Amino acid sequence: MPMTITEKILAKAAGVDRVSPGEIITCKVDLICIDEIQIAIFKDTLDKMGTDAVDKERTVFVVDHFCPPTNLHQAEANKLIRDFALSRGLLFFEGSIKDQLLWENGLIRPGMVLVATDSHITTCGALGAFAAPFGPSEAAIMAVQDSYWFKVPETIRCEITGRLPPFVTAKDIGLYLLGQKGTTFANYKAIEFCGPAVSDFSMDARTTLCNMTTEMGAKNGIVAPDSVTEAFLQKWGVKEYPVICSDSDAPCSETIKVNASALEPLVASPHSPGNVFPVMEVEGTKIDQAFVGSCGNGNMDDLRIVAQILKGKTVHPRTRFIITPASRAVHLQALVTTGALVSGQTCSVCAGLEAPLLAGEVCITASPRNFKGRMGSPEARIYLASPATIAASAIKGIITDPWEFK
Amino acid sequence: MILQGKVWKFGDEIDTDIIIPGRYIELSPDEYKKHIMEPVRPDFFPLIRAGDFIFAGKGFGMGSSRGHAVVALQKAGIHAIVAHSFARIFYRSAVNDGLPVIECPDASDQTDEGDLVTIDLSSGAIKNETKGTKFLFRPFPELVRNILFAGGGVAYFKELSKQGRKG
Repeated sequence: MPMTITEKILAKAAGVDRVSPGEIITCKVDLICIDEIQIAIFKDTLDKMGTDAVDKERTVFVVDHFCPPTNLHQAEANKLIRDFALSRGLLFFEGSIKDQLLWENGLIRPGMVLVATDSHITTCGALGAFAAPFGPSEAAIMAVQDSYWFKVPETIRCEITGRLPPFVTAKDIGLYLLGQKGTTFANYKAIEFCGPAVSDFSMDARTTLCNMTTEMGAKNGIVAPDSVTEAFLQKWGVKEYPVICSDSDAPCSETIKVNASALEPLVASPHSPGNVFPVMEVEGTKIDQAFVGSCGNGNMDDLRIVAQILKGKTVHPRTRFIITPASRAVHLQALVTTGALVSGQTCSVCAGLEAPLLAGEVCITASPRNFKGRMGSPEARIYLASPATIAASAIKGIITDPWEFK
Repeated sequence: MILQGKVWKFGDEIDTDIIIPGRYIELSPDEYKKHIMEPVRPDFFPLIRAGDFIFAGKGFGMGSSRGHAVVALQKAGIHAIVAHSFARIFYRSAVNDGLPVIECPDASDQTDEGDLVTIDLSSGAIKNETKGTKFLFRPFPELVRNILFAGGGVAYFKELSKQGRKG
C-alpha cells in the first residue's frame, strides 16, 4: 500500500508497517520544544499530573518572544522557563526563534517527529521531518509520556514547476496558495511540496514555504529530503538518517500545481492572510512601518534580497523599517547597512509585543499573519508581502512593486 | 454528559489573537480572561455567565498555539463551543483541557444570540430550547470522547497509567 512521507514517518514512530489518513495512532515523539509564552500552562499541567519528570533527551526550552523582556511580567515568564530548564539540566536557548534555531543548529533530522508549542513549527518540515504544533497542555503530557496520540492527516500534494521571476520569492508562492485556496483548505491535513522548483530551492526558501502552511490550516508542511538537505546536514556532520519519501502513487486528498514562472509579487491585505492581491493593486498605499523578520522570513535569503534592493538607497523618512533576524546566527552573518532598525531575534514585532501599531497606521510585513489587532491597535492595517516587496516599499514609503527596482 | 447554557454568537475565522490578544498573555489567567474577544467585542467578559456557550463559524481558534486561548474561555465561564469548523491546535488543546468543541454548522447557523441551548455530548445532540429545534452532530472519536468525559488529558492519562500499572 503506497504511503506519503508524512504517513511513513508516523507509521515508523508508531512502530507499525502502515497507517491511513484518519486513523488515530500512538507515536513516539522525538523532540518537544516549549517556549516562555507557554511555560506557565506547561508547568501547571505537569503540576496537575503530579510530576516534573520531563524527558531530558526529548525536550528543548526556548526564550524567543520576550527577548529581552520589556516588563516585569515578561521577565517573570523568562525566569520561570530558565529556572525550570537549567535546574533540571535541560537544553535551553535564548535569543533565537525556535522555528529557525532548531533546524539551523542541526537539531532536526529527516524522518523525525517534532512538536512545539508554536504554530509555526511547521517551518522545520523543510528538513523532511514531521513537525506539528500543539498547545502547552498536550506538550506537557508528551514530555513525560513515552508516546502520545496523533491522528494521521490526509496529504495535499503541491507540485511547483518553473522558476521564480526576480524578486518573487517563496513567500509569494505561499501567498498565492492562500489567495487561491483560503485559510482553512488544509485544515487537519499535511501539505507536501515537491516538483523541480522545490528541488532548486535553498533550505531557507523551503522553510518559508513550510512556515506558511500554518496559515492554510495545515497540521504540517513537508519537503522530502534530497541533495540540498544532505548538503545542509553534512555541515553538522550528520550523514546517517532515514531517507523517507512519498511513494509516487500514494493517495492524496488533492494535488495543486503551481507554475512558479507565472507568479508576480503579491500582498495579503487586511485582515486575513487569504485576502491576496497583486502588489500592483494596492500600490501607493502609504506605510508607517515595514518589517522583515519572524519565524517565516528572518533568514539569510530574506536579508540578502533586502540588502540587494536597499543597496545605495535609503529608507523613506515616513517609514519605520525594522529587520529582525530570526536567529543569532543570521544576525551575526547579516551586515545590513540599510537604514533599517535591526532589533533582537524574536517574535515580538510580529506578535505586537514590540513596535505596536497605532490606530490608523499601516504596516507591510513579511511575518505570517495580518489578523486584526495582531500588531497593536485593531484599527491598524497590516499587509503581508515578501521581503523584496517590503524593501521596495520601505524605500518609497508606499506599497511598491519590487519590479520597479529590477 | 449534558450541558445547558445561553448562546453568544461569533462569525468566521475567530483567531487566537481575537480570543486573547498577545499583549495580555503575560498576565495571570484571572487577569487575561477579562480581555477575551476584545478586538471584535470589547467588554464581552462581564456579559458572560458561567455555563454559556459560543456558537461560531469557520476556523474557530486559528492562528497561534497559545494555550491561553482555551484557558481564557474556560476561566471566563464558557462551557462549550459549537462551530462550523475548528483550527487543529485549538481543537486538540480544548479537548485536552476538557472544553467540549463541537462541529455542527446547522446548529451554529440556526441559533441566535441569547437562545437557551442543551447539549448532550453522549448522544451527539444540540437542542435549542428557545426555538424548539434539534440538531445532531457526529459523535466524537472514542479517544476524544474518553478524554473529554474524563475532564481532560491529565485525568485521562493518569487513569490510563494507573490501569497499566495494575495490568
